[in-house]
Amino acid sequence: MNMRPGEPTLSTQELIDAPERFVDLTITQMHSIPNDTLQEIQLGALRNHFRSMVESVPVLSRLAEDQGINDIRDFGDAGPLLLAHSVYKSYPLSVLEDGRFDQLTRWLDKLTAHDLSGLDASQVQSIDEWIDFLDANTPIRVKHSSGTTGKLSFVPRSLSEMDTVAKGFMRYFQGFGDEPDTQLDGFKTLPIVHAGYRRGAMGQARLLDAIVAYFHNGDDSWVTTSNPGRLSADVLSIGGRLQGAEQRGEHGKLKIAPSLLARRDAFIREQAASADRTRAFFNDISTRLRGQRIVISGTVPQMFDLAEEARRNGMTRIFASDTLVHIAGGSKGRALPDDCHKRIAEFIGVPSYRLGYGMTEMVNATHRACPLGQYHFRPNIVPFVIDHETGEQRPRTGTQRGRFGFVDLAIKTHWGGFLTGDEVMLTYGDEPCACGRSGARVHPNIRRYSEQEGGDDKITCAGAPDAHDRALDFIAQVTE
Amino acid sequence: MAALYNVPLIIRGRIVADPDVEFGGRGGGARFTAPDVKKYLSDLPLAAPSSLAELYKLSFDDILEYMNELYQRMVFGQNRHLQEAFELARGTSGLTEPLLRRTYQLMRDCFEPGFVREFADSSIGLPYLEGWVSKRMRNGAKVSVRALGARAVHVVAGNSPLVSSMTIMRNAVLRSDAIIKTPSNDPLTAAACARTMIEMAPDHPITRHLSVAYWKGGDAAIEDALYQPRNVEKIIAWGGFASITHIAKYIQPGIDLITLDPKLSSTIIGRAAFESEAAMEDAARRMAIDIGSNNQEACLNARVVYIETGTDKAGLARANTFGQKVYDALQALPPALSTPVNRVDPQLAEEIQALRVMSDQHRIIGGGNKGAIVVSQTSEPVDFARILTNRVGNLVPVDDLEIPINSVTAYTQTIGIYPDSLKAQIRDRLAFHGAQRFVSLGYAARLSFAGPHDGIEPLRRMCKWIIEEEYDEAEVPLASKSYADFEFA
Repeated sequence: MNMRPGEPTLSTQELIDAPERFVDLTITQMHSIPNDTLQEIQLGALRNHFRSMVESVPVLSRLAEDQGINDIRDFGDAGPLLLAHSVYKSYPLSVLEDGRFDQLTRWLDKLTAHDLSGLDASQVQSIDEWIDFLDANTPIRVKHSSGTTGKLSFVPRSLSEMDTVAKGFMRYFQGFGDEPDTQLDGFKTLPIVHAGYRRGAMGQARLLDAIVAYFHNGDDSWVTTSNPGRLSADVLSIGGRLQGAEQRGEHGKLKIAPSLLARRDAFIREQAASADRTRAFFNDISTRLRGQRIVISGTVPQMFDLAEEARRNGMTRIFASDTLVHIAGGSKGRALPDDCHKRIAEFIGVPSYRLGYGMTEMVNATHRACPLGQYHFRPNIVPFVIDHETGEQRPRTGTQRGRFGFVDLAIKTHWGGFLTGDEVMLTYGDEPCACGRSGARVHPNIRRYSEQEGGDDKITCAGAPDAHDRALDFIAQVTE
Repeated sequence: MAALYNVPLIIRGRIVADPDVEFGGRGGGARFTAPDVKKYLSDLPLAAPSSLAELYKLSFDDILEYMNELYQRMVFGQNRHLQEAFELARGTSGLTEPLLRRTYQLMRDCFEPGFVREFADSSIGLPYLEGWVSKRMRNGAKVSVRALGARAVHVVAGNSPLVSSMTIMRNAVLRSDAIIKTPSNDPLTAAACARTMIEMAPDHPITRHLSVAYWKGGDAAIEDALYQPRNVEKIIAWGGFASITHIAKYIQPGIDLITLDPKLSSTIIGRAAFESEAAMEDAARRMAIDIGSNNQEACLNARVVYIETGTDKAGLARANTFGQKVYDALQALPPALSTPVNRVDPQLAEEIQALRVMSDQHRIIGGGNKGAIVVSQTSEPVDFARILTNRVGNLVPVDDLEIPINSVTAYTQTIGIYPDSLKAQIRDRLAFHGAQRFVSLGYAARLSFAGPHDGIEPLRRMCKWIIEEEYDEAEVPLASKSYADFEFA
């Protein structure tokens, strides 16, 4: 392996045995691994991962049996084993409507290597409670999506992946080779500002949990969020169902669980406090953290809303110019002005920033673009490009366009094989990128298939606060 | 590389074939060129509404004569325009080749004079189309009513090419002026009919009151200008939620929007079907037709099927046996009625795969391009019932009919019912919940076309209903006289 003298390294065998340790390498180290070596590590680790998961994860054993795959001889064997988004929400919606959380637990059991058969969730009354119940009684830390027509997808992340989540987040900000940000010092000393909710089980809140645990020994005072409250999975689910019901003319048929109605007043108070909270947040960050180097994170629309709010309050360039900026790409269905990134950079006080790409199903959900605008995945991601129409795999060489899939080798307790809904152009790592990084890379023109096929009723994670608010309005109108 | 087709713009007998803009068919299919409609925007609307009068020089028999001649010319094997439309549709339609072929072969039937007469008489009433229909009212008025043609834009659906030919027939019968906006999955059929008409009778008023155009739905540069009360009186829109919502924004006083919006259909099979082997076979054979006809491309195809098998162990066993029978019957349908599909909807395939690997509560029979039967093992339809297509039915066992009756919504169009005697028992309740058509099992796809549709009478709404009132002063004194003696206390 092409390491610099004096830098810690890991052998090929060590990485095959523990691919989650890729994030212990610097960006320069992990993206200097020659392609042949990388292929060897990935194939070996993929084979190991399959062998251990196929025994313990029911959905994988069923799928492997269906597809007649007993072992991983080459990468192509894993292609038919990628699970589409629909698998992670394949429970009946009535489970949520009727509060059948024992059934939901049995369903989740099929997705994870943890044995949940002894767990009795029959007393649980809401999704939020169920998530808390799993947090309290198992190593599982479920991550959920914002939900399509009310069905949230649940990914059974667990504690064993949390350190990787935190370390990978730090690597997001690190440059390669001679790039100016290759030396990443003092990450642990930087306050963290996040545009969004602090609590809940969506990716961002779970990420903050992992960072606080790993870097700050559980001391939450390092984190400031625009909303310290919880993004409720129940409210999100109702938001999605509400939208679906409106479109189907079934508004009157929406069922709201009594346990949720009981929380109605709390929701309403929470919503009423929203404007005050935002003001307090601005006062706080613009005085206490003014001019400081911080870590700031959010989605593009969330950050844009903050930037606009700041501008109305006459605040620009709030933080130091070497602040670390973590913004995932995509306007998430919202129409934003062309210069939105310029306005966000101005609000933060940095000359510019690069966007990230990834998905919540990856242990490290985001990968920052290289200076040439390409997204390089950390080497624990084994990429696939699948023909959207035929389902066939594209050759694992050159540049391929198609549906993006991956196996995340840093996942330890569920089968991390996932087929996304994104159409990408992906260049395999036959040659390194012109920026110097080895490995596969995704070009920046990424589209969702659902958008191409006319209409996308998915409420994306940036749409989540909107859906949340709409649902709160609805709950407020429901009389008990 | 497939041929590049040209979809001409037809404006009242004039054919414009400039290949200004190129479009791709849906699902990565065929591509075609079309003139830029923006260049012809001032020609497209009927400038003088009074020119509809020339249609009123025709008697209904004249219209039938025209239809008869068109019927003769619409023979698929002898009409190169239809053949070309068929070739293009092979690359754009959701229908497979055998189904498309049959559809084009049958298309002429909608111009057959006997059918046209019955259609016009039962949907409007011939006297109202031919002249003023008078009667005496209790207030002394002699009231005369007549159904008059209107200037209309028809935004037609492309799941079946028959939508285009039916629209042309309707327009002729109603003596209206139609601008047909064709869909990308069937861009050429309406133009093929129009070209046949132009060759047949270039100056005939029926030919001169039909225009056909393709533009990308939602193109504001065209629609903002066209959808104005000075240009059109009626918009008849078929289509999905997004396209209807989009068109709805053009509604204003002077424009009547008639939506034939997305609907879904279902089936209720009563316990009688499960009381004997013969009845079960009969119901399965019929069920397969309702699911499979035209490969489940239409709103009237069955999707969710409630079966009164019971939900205990024996009931579920009956449901699964019935599922296998329906699947077998589906595979045995003749190719002119139903075939394995060309393209399986990827989203649907994923949902089915997810149930296959994750669910204990669904049994999946078949799969892939041959279609599938998903038998729920509880009384719940699959959550993705809305996207069922490609010959995939979802059988839902129930203990009684309360669940199916309560599951009906305003989006429910057809309900196939077995046995027929059950129809009369439950049809009122189903209708109160929103269902719009009840039909004997096995006949869901056999539309009579002449009656109500989607709970409305679209043909009657496509007309303008004009009233004339005549009073004889000798019988009904003028108000100044009759109110003169009114005293106010």
